[in-house]
Amino acid sequence: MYSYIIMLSTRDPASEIVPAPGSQAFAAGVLKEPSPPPPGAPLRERLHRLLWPLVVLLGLVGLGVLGARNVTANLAAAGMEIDFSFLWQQAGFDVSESLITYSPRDTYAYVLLVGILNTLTAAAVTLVLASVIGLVVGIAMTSSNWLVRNLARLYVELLRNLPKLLIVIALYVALVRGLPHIKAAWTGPFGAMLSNRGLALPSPMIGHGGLWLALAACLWLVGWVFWARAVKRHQDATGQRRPVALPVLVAGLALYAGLTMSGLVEIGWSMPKLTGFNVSGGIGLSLQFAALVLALSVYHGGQIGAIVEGGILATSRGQHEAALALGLSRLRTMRLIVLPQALRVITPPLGNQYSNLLKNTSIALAIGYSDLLSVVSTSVNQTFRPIELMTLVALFFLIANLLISAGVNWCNHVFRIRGR
Amino acid sequence: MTTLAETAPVAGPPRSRRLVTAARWLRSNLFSSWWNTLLTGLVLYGVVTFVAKALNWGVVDAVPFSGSRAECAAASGACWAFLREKANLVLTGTYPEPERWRAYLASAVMIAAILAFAKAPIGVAGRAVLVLVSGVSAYLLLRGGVAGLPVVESHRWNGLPLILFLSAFSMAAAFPLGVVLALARWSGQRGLSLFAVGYIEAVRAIPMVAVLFAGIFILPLLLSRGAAIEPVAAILIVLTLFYAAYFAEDVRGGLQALPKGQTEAAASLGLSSAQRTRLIVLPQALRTAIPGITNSIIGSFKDTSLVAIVGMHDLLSTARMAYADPQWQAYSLEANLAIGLFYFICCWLISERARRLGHGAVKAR
Repeated sequence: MYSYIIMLSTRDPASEIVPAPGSQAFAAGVLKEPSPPPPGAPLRERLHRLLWPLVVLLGLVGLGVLGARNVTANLAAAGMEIDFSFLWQQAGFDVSESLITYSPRDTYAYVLLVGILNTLTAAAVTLVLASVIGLVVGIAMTSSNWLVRNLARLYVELLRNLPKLLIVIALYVALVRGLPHIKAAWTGPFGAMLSNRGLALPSPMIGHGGLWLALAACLWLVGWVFWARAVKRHQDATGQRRPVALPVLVAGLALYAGLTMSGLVEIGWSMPKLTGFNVSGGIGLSLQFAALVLALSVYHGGQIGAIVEGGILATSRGQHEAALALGLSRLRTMRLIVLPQALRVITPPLGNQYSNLLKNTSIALAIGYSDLLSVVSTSVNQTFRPIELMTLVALFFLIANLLISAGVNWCNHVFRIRGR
Repeated sequence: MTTLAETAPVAGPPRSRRLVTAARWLRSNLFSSWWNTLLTGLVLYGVVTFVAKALNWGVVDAVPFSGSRAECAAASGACWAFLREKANLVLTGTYPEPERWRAYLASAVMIAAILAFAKAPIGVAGRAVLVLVSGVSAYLLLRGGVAGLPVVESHRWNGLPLILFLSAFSMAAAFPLGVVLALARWSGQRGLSLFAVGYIEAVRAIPMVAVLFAGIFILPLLLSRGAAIEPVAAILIVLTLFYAAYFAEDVRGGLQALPKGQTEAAASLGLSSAQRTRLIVLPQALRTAIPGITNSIIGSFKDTSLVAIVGMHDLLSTARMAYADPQWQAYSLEANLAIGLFYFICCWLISERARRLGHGAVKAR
């Protein structure tokens, strides 16, 4: 009440002195005010509404102009101007890893592309892993089992309160120190090698008959779709459900076995081998990549878990009970009844999480994974073109975020409640 | 049930009944089906093995704080002596040894100010004064150059005082800015609202690391020629601008939840638009926005650790310095656990405080 009185009285220039709190001053304040508002806003207020935004906007524009002038002056003093042509010069530095062949002789534009691809790879793998962890944790949080429920809650609460950089660095340091030197790498089944350089796995190499393999894969997918449709039709007609997963898996294995054994397709395996201080052959997963992806998956898994829990709790309990009463198993109840409804609640915050996840890959810089920002940081140090490079970074993330929100909108549209 | 309760002795339920209740609880919460029993068994096994190993490592086989390096080298468990040995380095980093008390005093001033900000009944103006006074005194203590204190360059402000300085004052400045941005977005003034939307969405789309880089590389270019800005100040400015967008988004949620009748009623009482905003709109909108704002405060506090990436030595990088010492190289886990505990306790305190605030707000209604 006190502040209310002050506000009322200070508006009137005649009572600049703040009155003591009390009903008299309040009454006086009210009396001096024109209590009913006149039809339409008073002229002073209308002026205010027009003037203030104008002043603020003019101020902002002024600041912008001043900043731009300073930038050009500062750059001119260094004999530079804003110019993107440096992108076609040779970059001259190496990256930790690259999906496309890269050498230091390539251009800055190309190294930025390498960084973007690395960022996207890390984000994509993290997205899948974090979603799986989040789904499991979210379901566990709503479990009827006391131990499981509280363990999941502990996990979420713990990760909510720890910085992601700490998790990434702690994991990376622990991996580097805990894993053996490359000379004493652990070898696992199928020739997998684990050392403090990373994980190396055998990779398939198609000798010949790639076309046949692709054809068979297409055939298999088409067969899958047809079989799933036939099962659905049969279920609609008779109420009986035939298996889908098992026959499809068996058919796939049979196709693969038939093709390789008949000699139409030859698949060899490239095995990782130790040559000097490096591993050659196979496909490698660097330790930086593994630490980044694992740490971010664990971190975002906790947050997604909380979102999934909220979605499940938002689904009415009656739905769950009705499904159980109809004789659906717990797993099917979750998969067919609860999760599809929870998905509608989950989608918007989940989209937010995915956007955060993409942005958070930029902490890769701390452990030396060559994502977009770490490539840009090296480039800035070499060329001193921060404005051009940061503009490109901002552009990339703006576009990526627009795409993510477009995806979320599309999902909202697909998952909406239909025909009610 | 009533008859049972009536016949029960005054001294409380008999032991057998308590046992029955306990058994029933166990049955329904841990062993309700074969699947749940299996799950309980597996999880229990995992938890017990983990806890046993952790206890062995952290307590049984560990060297206590009072131990020595030789004992640590011989022990198979944790080396807590490492934390005692390196406490000064982790907390204050490269701050010059004889002046270290200033770093601790500045930290104490800031912690006291944060507690007072959260707890003391001093109103908005009082809090503004508090922020200003504590900010200036912490700055002067860290920087020196007054009252005969030798000057300490800002790149040597490391560890705890740095993290407190950056997170506390960037948030203190970002929150009002965020409220202004949210109001601008909400105001219905097309130009202002467009600017606010553009600003908020653009900042929220860009990763914080990129924003920190912009602070280090681009902000100095924006100043007039010859003017220089210290990295700490540049980071403080960009953190403020960055966090403001997130606070604005939280406050917007509160503003949207505000029934239109509230502003209309206030207008019909003759309140000017500034009065409506200050007395009617903001108190309600901010109260609704408490959960979101709490999340943003916790997130901002945690994310301030990212300044390590642009070369500011926060707690994470001073800890890294500590276990980079070849003599103590093996004890990174101990250091990281200690930092984790620090963050966990701080964030937990923040959410606890916010929970109280939420309850108080409900009661005050």
